Amino acid sequence: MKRKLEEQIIALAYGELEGAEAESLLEQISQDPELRREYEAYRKQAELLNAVPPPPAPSFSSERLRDAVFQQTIRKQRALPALGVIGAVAAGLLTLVVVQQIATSTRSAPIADETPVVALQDLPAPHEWVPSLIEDIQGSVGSGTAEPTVKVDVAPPVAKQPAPAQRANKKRTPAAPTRSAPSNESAAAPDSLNEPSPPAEDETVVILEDGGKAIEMEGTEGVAFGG
Amino acid sequence: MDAAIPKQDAMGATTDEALIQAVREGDFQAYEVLYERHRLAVYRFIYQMVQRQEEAEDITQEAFVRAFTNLHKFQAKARFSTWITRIALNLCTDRIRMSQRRSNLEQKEAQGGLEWMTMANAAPSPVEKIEQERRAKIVRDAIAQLPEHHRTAIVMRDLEGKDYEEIGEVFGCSNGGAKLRVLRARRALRKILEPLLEEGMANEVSNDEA
Repeated sequence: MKRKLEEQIIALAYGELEGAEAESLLEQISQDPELRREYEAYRKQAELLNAVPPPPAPSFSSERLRDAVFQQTIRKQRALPALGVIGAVAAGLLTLVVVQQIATSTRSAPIADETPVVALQDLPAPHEWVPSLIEDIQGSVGSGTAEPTVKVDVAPPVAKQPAPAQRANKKRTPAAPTRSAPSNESAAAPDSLNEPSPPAEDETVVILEDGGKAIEMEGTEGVAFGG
Repeated sequence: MDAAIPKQDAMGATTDEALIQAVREGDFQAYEVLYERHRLAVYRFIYQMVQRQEEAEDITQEAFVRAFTNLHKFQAKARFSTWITRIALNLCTDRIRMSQRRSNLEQKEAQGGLEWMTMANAAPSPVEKIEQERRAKIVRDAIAQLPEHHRTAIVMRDLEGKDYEEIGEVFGCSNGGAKLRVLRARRALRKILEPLLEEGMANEVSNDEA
């Protein structure tokens, strides 16, 4: 059977074909047993579908819908702060990593309590003078002298030679000067960092038993140890 | 924008478009009106697809909740009834696929628990009622065996009586495309239904002889 004819038979059986077209097709069907069988099969099918009872009455209520919508909204609202917390934690971690990276890149050696403080302004870059300083220190230690001395060949133009106490400190921590905030002492007397100052008249240099050196200052109880 | 939305239809009722606009402005009662207007049609469609009352009620409610939460995505060029039917169809498809994954035993148990209801306004004799139920069961079983796209076409056209234009909107195709889908679905249904009917007739004859 041709597809077009079958389509028309199905449409007729389901009541979707009317008028002259339907009458013409019915005439054709009545004369052909095969067409009649097709038509009857689809007509029976359409009848069965029409006879299917409607669904049972549902039990709906607007209150139930409102509750469901409310629950859905609550779920969404709960999800939003959770996302915010996750975002905040991520941002915090990122900040921490960045700060740590910055700190690592700016600090070349651990900061000791006695690390000398130098003026930050007008200093040459550390890589210009630190290597020679380290070489001097290593040379002094290698020679086995009991009282190593520090000789700074390439002194910074402004901090040409540290004060004795600071020099002693440098021997213990031969790292580059840090950019930590200046202490009160350096803030009070910034010139002492710029000018090599010999022991003052009221200072006494004491040689310690272990080869160390201390400077006693009259009128004060503070003693700076070095060496 | 607001002026373009017709506020009332020919019967004086507030149009779906106006209600949707009101819902978007925060009026939930307008959504309840939409719900009451369309819930039965949506439920009937879903019931014919899943063939279980409780499940059909659940899916109907879920469809309306989803429609509410996605109302900002609804485009005015579509009809709300079509849009909600598409949402319902998607939910039905999910459920049908889930149920198909279950074991045959579970399916048999579920089908055994179905309650076939009779027409409330008709008053057939007990024998006629039994015969109606038997035939209805045969048809429903045949529809349940159809692939999902054929089942959707049969339910929308032959059980719910939707026009081809709306079927085309749900399927996302033209009128002609919708007609072709329904035609193919009817052919497919016949292949399943004929053996079942013959089997049913044979059982009927054997019962009569006994």
